[in-house]
Amino acid sequence: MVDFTGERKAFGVTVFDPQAGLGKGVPAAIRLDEYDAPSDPDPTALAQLLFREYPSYFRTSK
Amino acid sequence: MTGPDPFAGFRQKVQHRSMKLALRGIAATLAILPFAAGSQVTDQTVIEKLKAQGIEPTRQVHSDLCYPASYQEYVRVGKYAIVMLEASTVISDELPIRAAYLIQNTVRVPLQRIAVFDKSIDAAGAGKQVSFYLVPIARLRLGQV
Repeated sequence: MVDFTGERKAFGVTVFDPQAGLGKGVPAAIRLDEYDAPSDPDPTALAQLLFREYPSYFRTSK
Repeated sequence: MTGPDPFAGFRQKVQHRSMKLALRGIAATLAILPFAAGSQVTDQTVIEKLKAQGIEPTRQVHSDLCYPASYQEYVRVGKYAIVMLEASTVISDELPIRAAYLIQNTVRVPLQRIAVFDKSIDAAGAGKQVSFYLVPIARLRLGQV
């Protein structure tokens, strides 16, 4: 859900299906991980993922 | 060389739109659209048909959910996925998006924004803005959104 600035609140974006879970395209090790509590992300790894997946928006200066 | 990138993350693209227009007008329009019973009609198809009728959505949010490509990357990024939101509205003052969140058992879980780009405004005054957020995969796994 997102809130726009102003009066428009709770704008639905997407819904996840409990039966479908994460989807079959997600690596099994991620789908089946039972110890999935989030932790602080490594900024370098996060940057690498963004560079690779969203090259239209992120680029490396090196 | 072509073919799937073995290092690419798994991504799901979703598009949702809000049409704050005369609901009766939309309903009437939809009623005359040639939808085949039982066929899968995409949002895009509906939007194109509405545009052909001269009806435009007031707000749109396109989402792109990206999972880590491997278990190693999953651990390194803190067991988060990334969601890109591309929000557009004919009322440019509504941007930037004030907040993005998950709904879990009626509780709002705010998402951490990691990047936001300058909004663009077209000649008609409509605005568009792209932003990125971290989504804890643990919240998605059980479909608790």
